[in-house]
Amino acid sequence: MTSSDEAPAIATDERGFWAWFDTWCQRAGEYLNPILVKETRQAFKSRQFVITFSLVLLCGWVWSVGGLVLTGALDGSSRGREMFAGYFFILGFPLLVMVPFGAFRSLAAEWEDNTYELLSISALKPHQIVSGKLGSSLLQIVLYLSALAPCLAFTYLLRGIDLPTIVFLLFWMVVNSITVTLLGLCLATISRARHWQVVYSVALIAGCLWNYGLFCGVLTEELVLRDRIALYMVDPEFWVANGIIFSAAVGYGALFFLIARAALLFPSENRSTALRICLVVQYLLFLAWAFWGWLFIDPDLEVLMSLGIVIGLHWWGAGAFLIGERPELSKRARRRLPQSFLGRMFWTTFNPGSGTGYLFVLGNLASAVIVLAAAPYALTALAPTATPRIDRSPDLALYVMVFLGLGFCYVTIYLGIGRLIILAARRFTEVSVQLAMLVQILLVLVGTLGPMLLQAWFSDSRGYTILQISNLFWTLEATFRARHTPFPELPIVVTVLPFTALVVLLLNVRSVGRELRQLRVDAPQRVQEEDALLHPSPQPEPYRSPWDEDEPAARLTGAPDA
Amino acid sequence: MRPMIQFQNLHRYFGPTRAVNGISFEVQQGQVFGYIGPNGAGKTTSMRILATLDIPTQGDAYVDGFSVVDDPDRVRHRLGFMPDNFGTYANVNVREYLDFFARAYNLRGRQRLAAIHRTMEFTQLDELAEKPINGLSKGMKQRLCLGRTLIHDPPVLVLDEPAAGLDPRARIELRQIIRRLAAEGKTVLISSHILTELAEMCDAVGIIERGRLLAVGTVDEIQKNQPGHNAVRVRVLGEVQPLLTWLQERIAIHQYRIDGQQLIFAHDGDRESEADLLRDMVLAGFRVVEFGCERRSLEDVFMQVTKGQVQ
Ligand SMILES: Nc1ncnc2c1ncn2[C@@H]1O[C@H](COP(=O)(O)OP(=O)(O)O)[C@@H](O)[C@H]1O
Ligand SMILES: [Mg+2]
Repeated sequence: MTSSDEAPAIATDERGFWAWFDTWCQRAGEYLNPILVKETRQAFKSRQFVITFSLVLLCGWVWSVGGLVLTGALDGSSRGREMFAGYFFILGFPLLVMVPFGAFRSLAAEWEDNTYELLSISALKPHQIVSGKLGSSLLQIVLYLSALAPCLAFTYLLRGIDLPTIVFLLFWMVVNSITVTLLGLCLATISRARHWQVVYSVALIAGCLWNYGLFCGVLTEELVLRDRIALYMVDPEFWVANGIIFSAAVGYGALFFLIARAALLFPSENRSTALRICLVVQYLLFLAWAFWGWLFIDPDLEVLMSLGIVIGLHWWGAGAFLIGERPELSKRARRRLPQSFLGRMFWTTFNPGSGTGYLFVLGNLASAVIVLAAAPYALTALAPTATPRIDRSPDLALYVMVFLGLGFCYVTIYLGIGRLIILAARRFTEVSVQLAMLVQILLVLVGTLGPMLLQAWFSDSRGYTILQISNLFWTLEATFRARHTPFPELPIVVTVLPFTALVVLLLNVRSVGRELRQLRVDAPQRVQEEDALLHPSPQPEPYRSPWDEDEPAARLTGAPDA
Repeated sequence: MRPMIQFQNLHRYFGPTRAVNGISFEVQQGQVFGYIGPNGAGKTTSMRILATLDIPTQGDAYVDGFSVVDDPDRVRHRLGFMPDNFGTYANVNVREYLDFFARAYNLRGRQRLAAIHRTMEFTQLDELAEKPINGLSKGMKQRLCLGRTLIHDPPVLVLDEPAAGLDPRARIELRQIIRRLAAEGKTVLISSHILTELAEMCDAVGIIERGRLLAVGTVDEIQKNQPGHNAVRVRVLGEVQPLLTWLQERIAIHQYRIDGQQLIFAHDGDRESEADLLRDMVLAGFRVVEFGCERRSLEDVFMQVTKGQVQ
């Protein structure tokens, strides 16, 4: 602390490289996230951090001694693998459980300790608050890693495990840790009510433990102890899977970050557009990977249906939140609406609002249905002779299309009805996004469990009956198998569902249209005045004669980044 | 001139509770405005809206012309808010706390160090610099919080019951600090449930109860607008009765009392009319030996304005 007080003075001190380095560090320190700086200072003074850190070190040393004896590495055999597995578990606990949960608690405590409000009215932006918390988690990850680094290097010396494997495993552990930490930060912001915080913290800790056990268990078993990694590394499917998982981790990490940021934004701010862009990027990334894998590894048409399911779930889940957004745009958000015809064409569905959200989800889902349904024909056209092993009968391609189409209808219907319910409820009470999600879940439960219970009570039939038409899981499953197992109700399903979807869509049209007609408003006079003062538009310099008195230019001072 | 603080028909409802129910007033630059009302009147609620911690159900508020709903970032930049209760961080000392907020307000390098130095000096926190916050007394914490409010040198200060729980000495110091801030040109909105606490240091006060503003103006004006706000006491040599008769011919006297050679009556005029009255009395030949006017006490006025209702 005292050293930073002298920050500006050191710059003039001439002590060569170290002086330069010191100054540089100080300069960098000025631009570090304030939350990161504060939390680092706090951590080094907090007993809890010191204790956990020492415990991890201690475990490492205990395993170093105990492990060597237990695995019998002392008699000269190469026991690096077993030793590594032990360290992997020791490292996993802080990285996959303590750091994510700590991040959750750290943000949740801002509400509990009543410190958040003062933070929120400072110049810190919500993304800085989230990234500050993330930054201090990253710092902890680095510290834990470096605490165990000597041990990990030691396993390499013991032989039995090679460097690429160690790097590969540590890489995934760090990626996993960061993603779960972001999930923790996201959960902390979703609700500030005490009871929800308790629910989320229990869910998070359970999820973290499960993730820890599964991740460390599977990876050490498969890749370390059985030493299969060499086999995997030459398999292209393995790398495609890695790519997909990595993209998913980055995509969901970004999504969690943006959700947390949106939850912290001021109510009149645009909370949705950034999220929607992220959702589209995620979708496109997935589509790209999936197609690549599909084309080059397993161009089976049934795989397309599985891809459709994943994409459908993605958009359905996103939609369940988006339809819960408030329909009116604040004046502030409306200042930045697209204005040109093309801008309005392409960007209007990115505006916040439940109606634009509904359209946005349906539009993206429709694009997925079209792309996936067209894929078999494209494949036939582009590569008529390649990969003879696949079944490319037109019959199957048709099934793919019907399956995807029905899925689309279900999403249209469920989201549409959910949206109408929320709109109606809004007339009487506040509906949070969280509540909107619950409405959607309830709707699906009623739609699926309802007919199943009815059928169980009133009929002996165990198989699919037309009563199950609202049960999307059963109907889609039956459609999926329709080529092999007879599905006599299919013609009814194929007529009723699109018709219902159309009706629901029409019921939504009026309120959606109202949202689409919102136009840009100008910033108030006062804001324009200040902007003109802060960012004067380039004007020609007034002519100055050499005889003019040299007056010091009037300095414009004001908000640095208002 | 553009007011620094402006409430415009502000409403905030919590379910059936109308915490703020149509408040409008303005505070000009450099003014200290006292915001007075009993507990539960809606002071905190309206100040939180001004500080961009909450949004109004209806109406708007402006700081230096910027709406607290539509331009919270510009408002935050200009406003320092001292809440009535606030949390502090564990394992942080006074200097680190101020340093954190200086950074959070985008102050860098020399600027930041200067801001911390200035604030600590102004609020006399220097000797506490290395003390952990959780070990501070209530008065010290209040001072620290005021320091934090000042760290980015905002032109508008909103202080929610800053004197609550302070000892008399700390109250006097606080009053001095606020006077100095006003002298520097800062606009201050300060709340309290005790009128006398603010009367001396405020240029204007607003009395609020059940979410409504009952009276706004200088303390004098508010006092004056209450009927029978002055008690005039006259002592003459000789009989009092003729004076009373003379007076009753000239002005309406609501309430009077004769106490020996002394006449005490309620009077609604201002200073000038009192002076005129004295002159006329003397010219009329009354031998006045004492003449005094007493204002009704602020507590009396406050009790008269508010009706003691809470929701
Ligand atoms: N978050 C809230 N939820 C429900 N009611 C509230 C909330 N905040 C304040 N109130 C109510 O609004 C009224 C005004 O409160 P407040 O502004 O704190 O009064 P003051 O600061 O003048 O004592 C009180 O009746 C209080 O109970
Ligand atoms: Mg209060």
